[in-house]
Amino acid sequence: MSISELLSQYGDMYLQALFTTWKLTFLSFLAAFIIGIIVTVMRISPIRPLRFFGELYVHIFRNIPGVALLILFVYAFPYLNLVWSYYACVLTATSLIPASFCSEYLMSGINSIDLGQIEAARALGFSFMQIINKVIIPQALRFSVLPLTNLAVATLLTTALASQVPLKPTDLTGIVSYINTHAVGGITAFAISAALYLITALVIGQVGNYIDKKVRIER
Amino acid sequence: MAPVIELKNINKYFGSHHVLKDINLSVNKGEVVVIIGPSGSGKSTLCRTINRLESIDSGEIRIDGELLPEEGRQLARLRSKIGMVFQSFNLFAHKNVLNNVIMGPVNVLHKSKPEASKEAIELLKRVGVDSEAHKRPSQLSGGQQQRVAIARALAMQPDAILFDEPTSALDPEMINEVLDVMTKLASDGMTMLIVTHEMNFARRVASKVIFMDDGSIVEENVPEEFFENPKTERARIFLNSIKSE
Repeated sequence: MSISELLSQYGDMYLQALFTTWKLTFLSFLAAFIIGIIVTVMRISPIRPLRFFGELYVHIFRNIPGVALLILFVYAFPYLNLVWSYYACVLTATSLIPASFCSEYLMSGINSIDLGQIEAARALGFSFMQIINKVIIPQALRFSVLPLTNLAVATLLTTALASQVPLKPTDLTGIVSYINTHAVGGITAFAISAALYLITALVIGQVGNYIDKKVRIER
Repeated sequence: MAPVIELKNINKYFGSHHVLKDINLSVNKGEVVVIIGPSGSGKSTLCRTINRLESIDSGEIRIDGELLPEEGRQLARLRSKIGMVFQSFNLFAHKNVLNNVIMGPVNVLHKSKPEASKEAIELLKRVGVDSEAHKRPSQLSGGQQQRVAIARALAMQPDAILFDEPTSALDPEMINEVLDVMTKLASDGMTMLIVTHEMNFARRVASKVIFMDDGSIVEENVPEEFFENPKTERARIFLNSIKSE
């Protein structure tokens, strides 16, 4: 089938798939960001068990393939009487893994902060949480904008995991399988999805560059 | 009245190295205590133990008569009463000058932003950098940054300010602008403890000179006597070694 035929027949489905992918990416990245910050605060806290579990989190979820995690949620969890919707399974897998990378990027951002500023905050009488909130996190985030932009793109691509479960509406990768089992879309069906991934990634990259320019700390 | 800062039998080790040996020191209200001594003598470490940026192994530290605990809220509260100015300024890189100054008052003293900002502008005027209030620290010269750091310490209305080699990281032409601000503070009656290598400044503003060597306080004296006729041999050797430079 030609591109125009594909688009006229499946255009609406592509659009829905694009929204599914966007929504998954947005929700996953948001969750990864929040979990990433929490894990990072655990890793730098003065409380040893918190540090331990923070490190453990990163070591586990940085080193598991997304598919393995998804299989675990879909096929193994029901044995523990945990039956999640497919959507929840995908979303959890595509959040937990990027969260570990998010924490790594934030840690490297924290390492770029001059230790003297933390001492200055302590000398002013800041509490541990105030130092985290007012000095460490704001600067670590500024130092991590570009790596986090990459993470957002990586998260976008990770959401292709959704194609491995029957979602309705399906995502940009899932729709290719759908079309190719119902018609002969061939490589063109892939190309359309690829173009939509590419455009999304480019937009994410531009937004990241813009934010980086706005918040960068000149030294 | 209790001294603003009181140290009793302070000992500290870095591994097996005994860096502070049985230090006893008190700083009374309005006093300017200057600590001098060769590098590695423990003067900076001593300065940093006073608000527990360095831990101690034994001894006690009192701020306004209150025992400084090892950690927790009480420590933070007592720290907020003692300002600190560092060698490398340590301004918050993500905040402009004005916001650097109001960080403490807003977050620790819970002042409103407008009130803190009004006071901050006055302080920036006092140290002569009010025209830079909306710049980032990186856009300022070292001397300007250090004056902002002094304003930041003053904004907490501290009972005393610790200066840990405040001019050591500055280019020569900027040293005086910082020393001038400190001299003005001293004449305004601020209680200060200053670690410095600026001997002329020490002589001019100190009410008491502490000479440290090898982790101990070797001599405590008034400045005229210390610089003209030191009591101890080690201080004499140190002063001679600087003169011959």
